[in-house]
Amino acid sequence: MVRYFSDVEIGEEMGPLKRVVNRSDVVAFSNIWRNEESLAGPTFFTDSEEAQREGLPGVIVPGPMSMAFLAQLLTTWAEGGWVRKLDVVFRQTVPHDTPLQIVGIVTDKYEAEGEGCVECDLYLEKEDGDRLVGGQAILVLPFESERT
Amino acid sequence: MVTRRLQYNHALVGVDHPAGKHTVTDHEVRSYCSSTGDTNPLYSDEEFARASGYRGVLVPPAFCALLVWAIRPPNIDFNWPGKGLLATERIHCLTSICVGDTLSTSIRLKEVYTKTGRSGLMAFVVWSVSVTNQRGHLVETVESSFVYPENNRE
Repeated sequence: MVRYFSDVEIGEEMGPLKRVVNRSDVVAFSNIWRNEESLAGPTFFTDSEEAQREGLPGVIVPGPMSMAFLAQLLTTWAEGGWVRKLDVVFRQTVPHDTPLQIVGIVTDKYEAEGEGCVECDLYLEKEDGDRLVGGQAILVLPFESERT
Repeated sequence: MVTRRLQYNHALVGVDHPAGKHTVTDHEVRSYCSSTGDTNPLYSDEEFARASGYRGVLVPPAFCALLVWAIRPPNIDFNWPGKGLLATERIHCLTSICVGDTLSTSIRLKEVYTKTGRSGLMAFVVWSVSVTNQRGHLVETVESSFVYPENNRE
């Protein structure tokens, strides 16, 4: 269902979007756009030994994949919305095979240059609420007058 | 304790480097969506996407982060150990990208600095990538900072 600018209230919650990322998901994601470096050998995203060599506790979910989940929360919550900006801070590494939830909250809404803008805080967290990735986004939503 | 002195090629700061051209395929977008569990029909159903006002099958908003991930940045003669982890990423989407669009990327070293945190000294390398489509329009910018902790990788 399309979400219009007038439908949104500050403080409104988004999600949770729930995900568990396994190694095959990460391999599939990493292989979409292989470059020479990724073809050259294992990475700490999929290889435990390589992860330990880099001082990590284990294999981790790539940052661009976490970003995909945050963007997905926005576009699931607001069909018809346009993600204008997405600023993400990777606070901690995101492990494989761990139940994750992606949540958000509307922090502001305003009209700017003829667009209906909604600002949100976003988090990718473990089930116990430990926040691994945090972000802020600006989402542009259609006005009620654009309803077809 | 001897503190590592940050070294890199300062002449590269602010200089644009062409980073390649790529035509986004339907297969890539489908793989992106299947590996992240995204079932939004805008990214798979051309008829639905057109009825929603787009030129064709839409590319998800954070897809360019994947594109940037595949870029091999220029050598900056950086003297810090390890491969670096993504610390922050900022995406600014200016206009839609659709399957079949040919994207040209340009990468620029924005800044390099050190900071002392709870785990000790860290170096940060910040890259800025511009993404332009086949019409020459800037469609997205992506700014990525990578952190290199000094202590845990030697």
